[in-house]
Amino acid sequence: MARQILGRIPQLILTLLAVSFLTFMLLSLIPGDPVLSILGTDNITEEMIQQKREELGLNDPLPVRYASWLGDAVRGDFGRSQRTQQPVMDAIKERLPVTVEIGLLALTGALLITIPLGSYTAFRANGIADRVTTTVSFALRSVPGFVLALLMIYIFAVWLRLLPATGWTRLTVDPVRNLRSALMPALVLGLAEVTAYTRVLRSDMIATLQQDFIIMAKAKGLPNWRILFKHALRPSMFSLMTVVGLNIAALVGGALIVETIFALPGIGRLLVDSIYQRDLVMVQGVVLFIASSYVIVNFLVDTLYTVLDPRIRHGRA
Amino acid sequence: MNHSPKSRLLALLAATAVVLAACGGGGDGGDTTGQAGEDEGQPKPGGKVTIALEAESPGFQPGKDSVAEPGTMVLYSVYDPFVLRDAGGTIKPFLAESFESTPDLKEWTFKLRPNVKFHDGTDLNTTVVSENYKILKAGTTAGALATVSEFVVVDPLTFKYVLSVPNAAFPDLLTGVVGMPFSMKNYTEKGADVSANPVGTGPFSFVRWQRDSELLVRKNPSYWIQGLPYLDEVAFKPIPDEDARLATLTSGEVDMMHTLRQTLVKKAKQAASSSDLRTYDFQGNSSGSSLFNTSRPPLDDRRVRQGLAHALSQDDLLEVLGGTGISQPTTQLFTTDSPWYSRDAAAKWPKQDVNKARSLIKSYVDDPARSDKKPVGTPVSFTYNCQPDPSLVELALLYQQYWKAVGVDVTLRQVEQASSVALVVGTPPDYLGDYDAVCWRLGSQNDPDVTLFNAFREPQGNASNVSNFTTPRLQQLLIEGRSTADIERRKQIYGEVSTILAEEVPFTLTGSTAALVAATPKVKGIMNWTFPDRTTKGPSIVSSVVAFREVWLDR
Repeated sequence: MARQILGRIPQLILTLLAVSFLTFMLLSLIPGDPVLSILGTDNITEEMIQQKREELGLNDPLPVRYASWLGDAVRGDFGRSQRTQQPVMDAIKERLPVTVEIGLLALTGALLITIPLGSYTAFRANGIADRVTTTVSFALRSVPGFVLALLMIYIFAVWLRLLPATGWTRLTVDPVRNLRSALMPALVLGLAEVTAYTRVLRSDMIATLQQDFIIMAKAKGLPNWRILFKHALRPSMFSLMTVVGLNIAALVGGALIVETIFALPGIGRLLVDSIYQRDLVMVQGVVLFIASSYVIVNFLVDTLYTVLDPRIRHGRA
Repeated sequence: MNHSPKSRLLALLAATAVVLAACGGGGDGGDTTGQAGEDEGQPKPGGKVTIALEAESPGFQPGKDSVAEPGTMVLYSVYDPFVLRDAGGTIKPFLAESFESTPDLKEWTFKLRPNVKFHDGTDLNTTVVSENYKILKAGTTAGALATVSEFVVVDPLTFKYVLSVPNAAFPDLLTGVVGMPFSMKNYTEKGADVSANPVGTGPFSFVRWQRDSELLVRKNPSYWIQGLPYLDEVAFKPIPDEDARLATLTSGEVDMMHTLRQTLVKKAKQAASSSDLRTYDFQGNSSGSSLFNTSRPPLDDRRVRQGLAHALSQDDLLEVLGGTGISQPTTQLFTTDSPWYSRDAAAKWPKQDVNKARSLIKSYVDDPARSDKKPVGTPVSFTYNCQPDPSLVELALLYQQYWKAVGVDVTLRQVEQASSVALVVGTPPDYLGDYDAVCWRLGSQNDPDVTLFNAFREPQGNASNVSNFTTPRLQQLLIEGRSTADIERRKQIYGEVSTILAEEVPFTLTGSTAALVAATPKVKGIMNWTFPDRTTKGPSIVSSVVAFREVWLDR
């Protein structure tokens, strides 16, 4: 197994290199001058523009800028923001806990709903519960995240005054307030995922429940919950795991909207603001970080298959 | 803050109004609008106010960071400017004790108040101001200080700016970051992190900042104006989503919010009309516009520009922008209550006259010497750039329809803000811009010299003249305007400048930008700030910027 995992590492490095190159190129091709975003248009002189371009290294050829940026990035130095002068790595470290906490809460919540719901609707396929679940989950899926977010703000913050409408309290400052400020954003992100997860688990579980070993378990008189969660769940999880792995990117994408609406100081909002302000150094650093995390998470999910599925582990898949 | 079931219901209704705002309706809610000069009772010291801002700022270091209105509120809390504008528009000493100029307006001498200290305990003196000047002259403020040829320290409390050309408007620069002294000890110690650790002489000292979450300032106990500030703390929270910002206020989590968006101004007024919120308005010189690149055919021809202007209805354009009943249509870069407003220019501003518009366009189309070199009879055509913001897209479509009605083919192009700025400014060495027409914003509360001088001097190589428009007479007036201190003469000069711009139409205008501050009733003193003599009034909230020095809580 270790050899299989090690064998994938060169592929991982190549993917990361490609990601870094594409990120760099893409941002270099976007129109708009970061210097003008910094200086504005009032009372500027050509000397000021040229001096700023030189200071930011924007006059260097593209390959030189890429090589220099990648060399520093490999050592963990993503440079300093052109606008705020804050080291990019510090900005990421400062904001990562917010996005990770909301992402994990959303993911955990989504899985806690999905596993019993997906299993039960598969077990009672086409029953009333299955139909209601399908209708509700598709309705939720069709509501855009920002609408759901605003609706929740009006219900839980403005009307019921149970949760704060916007803002963030750090876990280390006040855990209860932290949870209250994280709850609505996590719910908005998580609910959107429940639909996809439930459908995937349900369809895999239906297939699993028709397998011989399940019929054997039923014949032996095992209780339904034991059949579902002890025998059927594990072989029905592979598609769900793949979707969860791929949806890490969707969670980050959702964070862009959710963090802006709920005014959370996370990675998503950092990225949105940096794009608007043409803070290329910050955007490059954050995109590389997100893309690398995505590639690594999916690498770990692939690795997890080998742990869960003996057929892959022994090269018989 | 306690809320009765009734007030909760009202808050919900207000929020519902926000959700359903697209449906329109509702009154202005003007009865809760605050006014300068209202008697709010005896100020009470203590307490904390939290204000929701529309955006985060990059940093707060003069000479390094450029900030918009939200950041300006933080700047005025942490720093004090040498001078400020009073309610009548006259520049008066603030942190400076006095200032004067030589008759030729080329030497400006300022005297500092004695015994003023920065928050870190260091003294404010001319040595610090001189060091500050070197940083400002080399930083992002270099353009503003371009005409300062020398900085002279006269004595520990007196310093002098020597200008290369006369400039009556020079003190205007010192109302902003250029005139906000900062601690050199802090600047040296913090190095690259100084933007996130500002130290000035202001009423509040910086405590902490979690970017995109909260910036906290605390009362400066040794503030040089006795008895101020009243508040113990002020927290600034950036909440970029407009609806979420208003909902945060109506839910009682923040005490104040501000906006420069017409749509939110309207929603906040609707919310205030059905709750105990109070709103405070500001109509500024800043106006929405369509900017024409007058260095390019066909917009280099005055007939085309005038024709385009005569085709428009400002009222309809304002309605699309959500400004009906909020913003006043504008005819120049100064509002009707500005001392620089010109009735002559207003009379010359092209009113909607479709026949006249068609006739002007036709005279260009049929002109064998037309500037775009196209065959006679070929319709006028150009590209109009605008940002992909929903209300601006709608606005651009309306422009297209108006201009199509007078025989002009307009291709709309959606361009994101940063790209739009780059295209308008253009590239060195000419800086003539790579655009035909663009939706833009013009005007400011500064002295007309600051707003107009660079914007309309020789366009070649001038990145600030974004319309590329000028005339010899205009340049002569702009030089004359900064060379005289006679206020009546200056009014005449800038009146003539506005008249030339109304006749030549390098831009069309929609309406002045309405800005608004909304607050719970317990927050007082928003509109009534004074100078250090405590009697001279300031101009309330300029572009929604609140000076927290005299804000207090009725607890």
